[in-house]
Amino acid sequence: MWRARLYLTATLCGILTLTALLMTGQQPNDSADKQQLVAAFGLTDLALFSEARYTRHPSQADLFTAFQDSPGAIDHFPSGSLVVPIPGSRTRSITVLKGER
Amino acid sequence: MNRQLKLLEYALAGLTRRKGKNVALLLVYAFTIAALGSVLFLTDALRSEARQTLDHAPEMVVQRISAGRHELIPRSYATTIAQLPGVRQATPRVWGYYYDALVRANFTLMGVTEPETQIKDLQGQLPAADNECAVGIGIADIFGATIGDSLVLVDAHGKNRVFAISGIFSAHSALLTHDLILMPEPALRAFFNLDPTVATDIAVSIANPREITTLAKKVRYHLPDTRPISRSEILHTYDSIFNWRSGMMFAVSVAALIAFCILAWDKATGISADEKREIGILKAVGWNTGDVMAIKFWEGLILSLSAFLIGTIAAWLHVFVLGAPALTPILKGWSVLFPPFSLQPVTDPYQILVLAFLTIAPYLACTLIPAWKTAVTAPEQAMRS
Amino acid sequence: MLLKTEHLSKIYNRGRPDELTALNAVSLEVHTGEAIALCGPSGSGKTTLLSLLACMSRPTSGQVWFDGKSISRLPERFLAALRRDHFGYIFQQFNLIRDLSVIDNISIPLLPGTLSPQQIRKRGMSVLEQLDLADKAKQKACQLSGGEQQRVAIARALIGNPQVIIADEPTAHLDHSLTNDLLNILSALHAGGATLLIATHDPAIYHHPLIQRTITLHNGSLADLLAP
Repeated sequence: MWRARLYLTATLCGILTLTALLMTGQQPNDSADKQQLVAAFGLTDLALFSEARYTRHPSQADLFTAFQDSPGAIDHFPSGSLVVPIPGSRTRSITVLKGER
Repeated sequence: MNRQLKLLEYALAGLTRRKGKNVALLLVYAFTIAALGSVLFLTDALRSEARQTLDHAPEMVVQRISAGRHELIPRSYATTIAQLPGVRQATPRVWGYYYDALVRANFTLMGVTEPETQIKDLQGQLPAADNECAVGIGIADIFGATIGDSLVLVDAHGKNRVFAISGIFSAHSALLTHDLILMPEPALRAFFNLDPTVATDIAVSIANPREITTLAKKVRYHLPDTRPISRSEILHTYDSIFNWRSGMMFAVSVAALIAFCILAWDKATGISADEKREIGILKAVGWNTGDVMAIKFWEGLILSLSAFLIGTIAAWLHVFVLGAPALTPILKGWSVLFPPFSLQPVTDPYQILVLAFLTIAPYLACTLIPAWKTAVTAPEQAMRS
Repeated sequence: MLLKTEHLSKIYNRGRPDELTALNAVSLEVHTGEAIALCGPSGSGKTTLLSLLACMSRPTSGQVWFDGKSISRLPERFLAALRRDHFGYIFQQFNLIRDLSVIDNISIPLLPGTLSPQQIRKRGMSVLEQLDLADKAKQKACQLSGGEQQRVAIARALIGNPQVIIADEPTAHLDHSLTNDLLNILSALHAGGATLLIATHDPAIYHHPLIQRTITLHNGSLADLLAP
């Protein structure tokens, strides 16, 4: 019977661990700082994907528009996995000037 | 109870007898569940993050639509909107994008109108002078810049403009500010070469949230070329962006499902001669069909429940402790700037139950059906195979 | 009368080209406490008859009576209970579960019942001692010799204290001295009141004083009834 007891104990532990893990997230969290930030700048979106307008600002994007043409917005179709963004000849790039502090 | 314990013991002995095969099965199965669970946890946490923080977004954002596209909006529209009863304030905002060809990333540039505001998640200050800017941690990291350094950006006239970094947003807020560059609104107008009479959109503050829908209709009535976006629409976007039908969820579920089908097919067709013979022996020495099904049920449950527990716990640790390293390459796409996850471990019990059901039930069925087919044949015939 | 058959027939693969009549209208009677040898060349239907008597398959036609009740049409769960409570079957191929230990193998018939694991173990050990197997209790069945496996198969058949012990070619894998051991065990069981039904074509068995009656099968039919 040791196998059955061991299994039942282990499974019970597993269920308790999982429940405990799932419960930790259910407690109210302190996101007041972020909420203040959102309110101060009127932010509307998460800065998750910055390839294109419809991914950077999905709630603001003109999804009704026929053609999405933000730079890097080629992942909309499978071809996007084959063709990478074309390196621009009119390269605009940010440079950093180190300041002294 | 006692009888079930004895049968459980027998089922466990049976599983340990075919140790190699069952451990391999358990691992593959747990891995599939972990993959599915990781996506579930990640998207759940992102959704809840969006729901919590964006709950403080403007009640309404009004855009102008011209020729089917988002266009700059005349500032005079703000005056019209502000005069509607129920509107507390209508603020024209300036923001836009800046594509950096070298790092191949889009940045979001926003104009600041009230530089005195104290932001807890900001180290340093908001930009007050025309040659200052505040940036998100992603930008600071990618260029290795700190407060006091300067960014050189090329403006609409093709001229280099130098902006001293006056503040950097903390990593805590990266999910909101990762790619942001804030500068004083007049400076941003000059940078984008915007006419003083226009803005990017108008943020509308409304006193009574129940009037938002009515006011949105009124805005469209008075200014027919506008598109009001209410806060509930913003929240709804994030509710539906990572749901079961969304691309990533779909891709991963399909992959998992295919893997699982292969497994199930193998199980369903492949009740081995050994297993058949064993069922025959059990029946011959006096077990009835119910007893045989009970041990097969235990065998299936032991494997699938253990796989579910291992997989789900692994997924939780993967997403909330390790920061989902296996999923970020898929999520990232071309994003050069991708915020580090420090997600609140929020999970939806309903989805966990669905996951449990979808993974345990089919496997049990796959174990029980072929075993049942063998168990109902006469023991003499089952043993002969 | 303990067991009775009436015009018992078994046809395999009925209606197919490889149809095979294994048993054809066999009628016989077995009384409580008898020791019967079932003889006949291989393929004569001995195993089929035994498995029908032990409720392990159903006849194509005809009836089997056990203790005055017809059992051929009983639902499966009653047959399982009959097999468990009244019959002990020793298979020709032993049919042990290879990777299980000896004690686990012989405990199998009692597992679904009401006995506690300790009681089952005690009972198992006492049967093993009776058969001189107690020191092999923890070994896996597949590690034993043919004679030992045979005795484990007997132990499994005995653990439920059956009324009827059915053995299918029990000496097929045994040498002369092991055959004698087996016959001693069977005699002891018979002396204890068990009914014995032994299928065999080994003269050492059907000429043994233990055997009270011999039934001969030929091509699925009874050849004759001989008293010893």
